[in-house]
Amino acid sequence: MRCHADQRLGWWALVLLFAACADEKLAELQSTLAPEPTREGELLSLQPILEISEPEGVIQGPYTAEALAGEVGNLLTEFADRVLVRDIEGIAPHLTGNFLGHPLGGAACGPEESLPLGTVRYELEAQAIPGVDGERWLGDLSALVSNWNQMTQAELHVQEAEFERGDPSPYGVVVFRLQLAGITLGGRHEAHARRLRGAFRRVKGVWKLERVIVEAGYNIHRKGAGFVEVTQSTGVQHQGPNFGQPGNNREGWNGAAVADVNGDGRLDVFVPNTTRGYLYLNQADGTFLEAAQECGLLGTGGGTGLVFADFDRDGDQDLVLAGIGWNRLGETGGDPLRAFENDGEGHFKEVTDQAGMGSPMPALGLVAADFDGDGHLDLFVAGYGRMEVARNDNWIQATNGAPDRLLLGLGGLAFRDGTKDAGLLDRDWTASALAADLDQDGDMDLVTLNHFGVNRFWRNQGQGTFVRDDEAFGSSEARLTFGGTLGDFDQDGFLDLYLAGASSGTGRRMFSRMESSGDGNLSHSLRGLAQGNHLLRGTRSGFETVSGAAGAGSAGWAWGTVAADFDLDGRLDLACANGFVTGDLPEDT
Amino acid sequence: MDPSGTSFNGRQRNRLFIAGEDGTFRDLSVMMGADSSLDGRSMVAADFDSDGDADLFCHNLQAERHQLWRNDFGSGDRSVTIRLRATRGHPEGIGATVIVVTPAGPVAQVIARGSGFAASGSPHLIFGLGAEPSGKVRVLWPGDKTWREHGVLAAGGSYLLIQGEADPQTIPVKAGQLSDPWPPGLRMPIGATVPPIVLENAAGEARTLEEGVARKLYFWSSACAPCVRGLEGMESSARERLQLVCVDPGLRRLEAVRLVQAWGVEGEVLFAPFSPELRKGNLGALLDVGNLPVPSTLVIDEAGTLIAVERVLE
Repeated sequence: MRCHADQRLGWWALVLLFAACADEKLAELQSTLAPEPTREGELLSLQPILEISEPEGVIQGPYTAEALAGEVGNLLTEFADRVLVRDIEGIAPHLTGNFLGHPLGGAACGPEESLPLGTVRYELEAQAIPGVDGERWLGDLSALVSNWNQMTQAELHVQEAEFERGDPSPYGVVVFRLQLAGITLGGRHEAHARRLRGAFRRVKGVWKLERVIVEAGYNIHRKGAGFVEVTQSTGVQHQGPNFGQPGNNREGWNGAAVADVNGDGRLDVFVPNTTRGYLYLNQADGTFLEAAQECGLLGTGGGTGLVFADFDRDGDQDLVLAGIGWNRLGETGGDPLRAFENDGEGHFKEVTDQAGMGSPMPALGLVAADFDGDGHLDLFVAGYGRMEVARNDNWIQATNGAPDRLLLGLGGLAFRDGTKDAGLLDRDWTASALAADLDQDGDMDLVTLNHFGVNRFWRNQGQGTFVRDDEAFGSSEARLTFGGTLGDFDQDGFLDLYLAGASSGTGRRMFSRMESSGDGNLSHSLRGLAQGNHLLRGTRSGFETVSGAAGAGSAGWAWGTVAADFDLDGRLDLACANGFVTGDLPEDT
Repeated sequence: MDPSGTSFNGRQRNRLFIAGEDGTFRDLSVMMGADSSLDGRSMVAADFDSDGDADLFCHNLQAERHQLWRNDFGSGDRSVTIRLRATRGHPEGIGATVIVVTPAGPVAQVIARGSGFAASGSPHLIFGLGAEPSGKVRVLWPGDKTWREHGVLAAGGSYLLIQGEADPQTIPVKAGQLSDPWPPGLRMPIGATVPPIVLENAAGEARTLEEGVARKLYFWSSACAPCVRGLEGMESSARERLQLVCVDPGLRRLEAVRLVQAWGVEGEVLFAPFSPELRKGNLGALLDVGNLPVPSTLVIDEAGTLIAVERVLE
């Protein structure tokens, strides 16, 4: 769909424009859904510019306002679920009888912009135009998604919300984001994104949509996908119990590690799960053979951080993995690290006790490197904490996380605790860590990525003693960082740091209201916890924050992240895993 | 938070930020096919098929699903793959920083064991070269304060850099390809035996298709313009040879019935069961209705073998 014509006022013009932009048959379909316009001037004079009234007497209480935003969010989720199956008629009961809205379909016909990888984007030009009634609005929405032979996305998310005082509140104005995506019969991927301002009115106790204004948006398309999911065809399609069921009730586990475990030249992947592990051995035919039991990795336990490395320097990849702990019959305990020695052919034997790892060590992350420069790999253990035992004692600088550990390799698969001598004693809630010679002075430095506190730069002074450099990041804002990755994103020869962290619309709205209601300092700090992903530009002396993460700041509740040049154009790209917990019901708190 | 009930920052999708020529990233997640919404946790990139580009693996929270995406962006001959062997200290060169320099500038990456969240990625580094035929490489080896030059690497190769040796060694690698995906929406490969298929009529009453009959199941939606155009443009005899299965839910089914009757197709209009419970039945073992492109025609022989999935209208 290409759009080059100028925008004209009036909903009828949008419809005509949509028809002009669409292929002929789609235009025919559209015309059957839209009423025949009369005369341009007559219609313009009859249809006032669509406006939305602001709530009178806005609710300020952050919890009440957010609960109402949640109610509208539920309605939008139901909308989205209907649109995803193109049950547009199913949306009609959720519109008020006097609904008026800007058509969603035809307006994104601004200048064409070429994005990487042959992607084309058309920016929408926001306009003050009349609205159409519910039947026509839904007809336009139906036409918008009808040309796709596969609908891949329909999402609606609340961004900002204000509600009128009342018990219950009768009226609210909500800014929300719509994204629809699908694939045409010809294999073109298309998406429509809109920022919408909606008026919602409570009718007989139920929220309904009364007005919708299109504030901004864009259409985007590209032929073909960059990634093709081959989960099933390659044989890595493990599916376990749903979250919350026995065997899958820990939010922050789900690790993965890559190595050539059997020395055949192909990269394998090990995936610890709560009840059992999965070792996917890469076959020569483009598939994987799951062989955890045959290879001794069925019952590894653990499942947070894990690393393969040749710890005993015998030419194969050994495994160490971490866990948090357990809670059963009212008793809790901490997990030790567990170590597994590779026999050279991909068969593993547990050597946890010999490795000196038998004591509990609750950890989310593991990093292997030779921190003391003695030729043996050491392990940095990112101590997190155990929420079921004690919650964080502070939101912006907690001091009761599990201790980090530095386990110094002694040769073979044996380690001793060298944390204290290394100067790495702290009680941050550390979710993960990264190691590299960031100051290029011949030793491995550490970055620890924390929850409920600032991230840390630990500068190695040589021989594995560290000094915390609180100036290195240039910012002392508390974060809720889950993962990070190093790479030279700005192509200056220095490693930069990309951080994946929590981004919560709910959190931002609540903390923002707390700030405006006078609880300023604390809420400002808390808001930093929910600011999402960050990019820090590496320099010889430390890191500088890059504004807006150079476009990579807006993700979601982000966990894992990885840098790679996926399109091989000479620039590193970023992938990021998102989402805390998705329940069966539409409510999202 | 009740995991079987409400969400907490759920219904989010994985993101892919592609770097552009201007030094900024563009969020192209929705275009690139890996924007799963299963509450992803650890994520690793590795060249599992040795074709010179990075594939993507994710371990999700939802149902502890594992997912693998094949990199189909382009040709791996625009990259170099680098492995290290240290001769001082630990032999794997863990923590080494490697820079490849092309006329477009340097790019640095680090050999890491433990990165991202709860993850340990590939022991090999892949550098894209864009349109450049080669790149110069240098390494800051663990324990060194000085960068070491290791020569020029030609695009399309896999190389071993050995500490103390100026020249790289070429590693012969046999490129493969991760298996092609199953047809979209299917939970079985071509050649699998299809279970008994239970559909429903407009009233929601179950209808089990007779077994031992060769048939073509034509999945369609009245909300899908290509489907409607295709069926309308079809000779009635051709339409009669198909078993139409509409995927519409709710009130949309009335429109489907109206269309089928207008085309003069006799018999009940059949639908794919819509409720999640019914979708888990035998049809759910065959395909994921929500992710099945429409129109799709499943060709099944008398023995119940899935022979083909046709995506072109008859």
